[in-house]
Amino acid sequence: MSVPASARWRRQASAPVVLLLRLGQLVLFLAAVFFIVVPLGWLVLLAFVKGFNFPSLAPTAFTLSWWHTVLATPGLLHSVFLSVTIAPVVLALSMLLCLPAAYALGRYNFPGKRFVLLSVFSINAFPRISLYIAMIPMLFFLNLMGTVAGVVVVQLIGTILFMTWIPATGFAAVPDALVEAARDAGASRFQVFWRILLPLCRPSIAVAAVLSFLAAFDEAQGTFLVGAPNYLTMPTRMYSLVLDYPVQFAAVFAVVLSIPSVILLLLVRRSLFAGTSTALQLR
Amino acid sequence: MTTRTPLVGEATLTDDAPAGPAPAAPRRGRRRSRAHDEAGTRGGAASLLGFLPLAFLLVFGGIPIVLSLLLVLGHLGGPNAAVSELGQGEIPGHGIGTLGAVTQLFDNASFRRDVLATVVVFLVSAALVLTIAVVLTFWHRLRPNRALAVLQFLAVIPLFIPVVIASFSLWTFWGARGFTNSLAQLLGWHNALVFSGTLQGVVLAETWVSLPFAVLLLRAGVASLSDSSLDAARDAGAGPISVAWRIMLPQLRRECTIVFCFTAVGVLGSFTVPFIVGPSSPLLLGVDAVNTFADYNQPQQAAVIGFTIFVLAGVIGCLYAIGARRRRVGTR
Repeated sequence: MSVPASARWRRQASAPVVLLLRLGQLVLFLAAVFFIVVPLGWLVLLAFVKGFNFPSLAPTAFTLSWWHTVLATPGLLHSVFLSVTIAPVVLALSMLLCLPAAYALGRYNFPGKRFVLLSVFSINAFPRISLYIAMIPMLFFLNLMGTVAGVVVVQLIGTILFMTWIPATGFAAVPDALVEAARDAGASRFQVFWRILLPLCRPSIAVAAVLSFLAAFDEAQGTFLVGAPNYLTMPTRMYSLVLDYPVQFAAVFAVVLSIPSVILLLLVRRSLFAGTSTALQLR
Repeated sequence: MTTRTPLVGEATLTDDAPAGPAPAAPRRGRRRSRAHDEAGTRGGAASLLGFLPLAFLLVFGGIPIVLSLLLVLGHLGGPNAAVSELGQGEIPGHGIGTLGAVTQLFDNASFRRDVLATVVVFLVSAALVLTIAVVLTFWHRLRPNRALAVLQFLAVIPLFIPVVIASFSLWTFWGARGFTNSLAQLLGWHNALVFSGTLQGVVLAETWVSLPFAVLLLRAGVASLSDSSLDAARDAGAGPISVAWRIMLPQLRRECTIVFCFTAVGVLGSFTVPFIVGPSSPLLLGVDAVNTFADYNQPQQAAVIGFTIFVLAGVIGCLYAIGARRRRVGTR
């Protein structure tokens, strides 16, 4: 019986108002394309052109030579190696540290539970760079500055929230009745965990894993602070590439570096958009 | 609904996800099911597991912040000896400590300018992000159409791009030889569209990277508003703008507070965006802190800058608390 307000407003609005709204939408739309999409297109274009005769927007020539140059630069391959080895290690450690906790937080009530949840959350609410700066004395004390272990620690900090909260959500969502039924049928506690809880929680663990991996893989500022100058991962390299190399060179590197992020996030985009809060922490 | 006050984190998680760790809490009052009853008997072991990440955060987050504060106050010995031996220009303190390093920095006019620049940038960025997200999501809620849906999709794209890449991309795009300036030159508009190396550029880039979270959160927020309340307002003769302003905005105050505060803290704690896109003077505090440590080798002064950022974030945290509390009072 009720017509949505939006439809009634539309019917009611006079012609000039409708025109104005359409115009407003068009302006917004063009602005969004210009501000968000075109810069990315420009970046991709840069990776494949020889150069521009400023201010002409037509490239002087298209080339793949920057790709060869990037591949032939020895230090960069070391960065690629560091990135693809450190991020999985961080992910594995994060799972070891957080998944048991997520299980406990999701399935059990214990004193201090809310405190744990709040602490894990609040460490991510700290301004990131000042947290890293504050870690420096401790890292020096533990002899972790300028080491791979130090880089791992810094990247691990950014994964804790994902790896704890998202799987905890998954574990908590498993109906008690299901667990009880399994227990009644004689399943041991471990069997319940292994054959019921874990399979049911696989999607949330997968999302947490993707987000944690990307958080580690894309982390630049803390890694730079702790790892430089010996351990520069791919995103950290971007800092010097921007300053010291032709933009086309850095553009190639940037395009390569965005590929894992784009692919992995597209894979989990549905769950990602459902759990909005997680999106924040990607930075 | 439970009567307990929601935690900061719970609010964000449970608002958007179908279920969270929080829903376990209401069970407390009920008779425990067998699954949880057994859990109760092994509560000791379970809670130990639960405290694992906390222990890690204590060693690498909590204790370091205390050590860093001691360093700020001039306590250069003990665990801080390792860092202070290597650093330069430290001001030692005794007893409670000294604020020497703090006053030294704040006596410096260029540092005060950095603080001011940081405050202006985070306020403007957060306000801009909130405004754009509110316009996009509210408009789509009141007059849903495909163009606005596409717009919202566009606003989420930055989520997929690592911040370093986004910063670099925007830096070349808005640079002196970038796309926008080329375009302006071709149109006979000289050096009009160069934002790289300026604070405006930092605001632009921070807005770029913060927009997806804001749009996603507010989209979830407006979806939760009931049609009936909007219809009722409309039947009483309210136009779309007054419905947005007087019905939707008050109901979504908490979401708006979250968006504003998280964007502000995100900008405060950022290094990559201002480092790549920003000017060399004034510096944003994040860049300032890293430079002070890495280039000038002054860990104590870097720690002071770090704490300046903490204090500013604390102010934003108070804003958040006020915004969230008013909302709760209003609903009762």
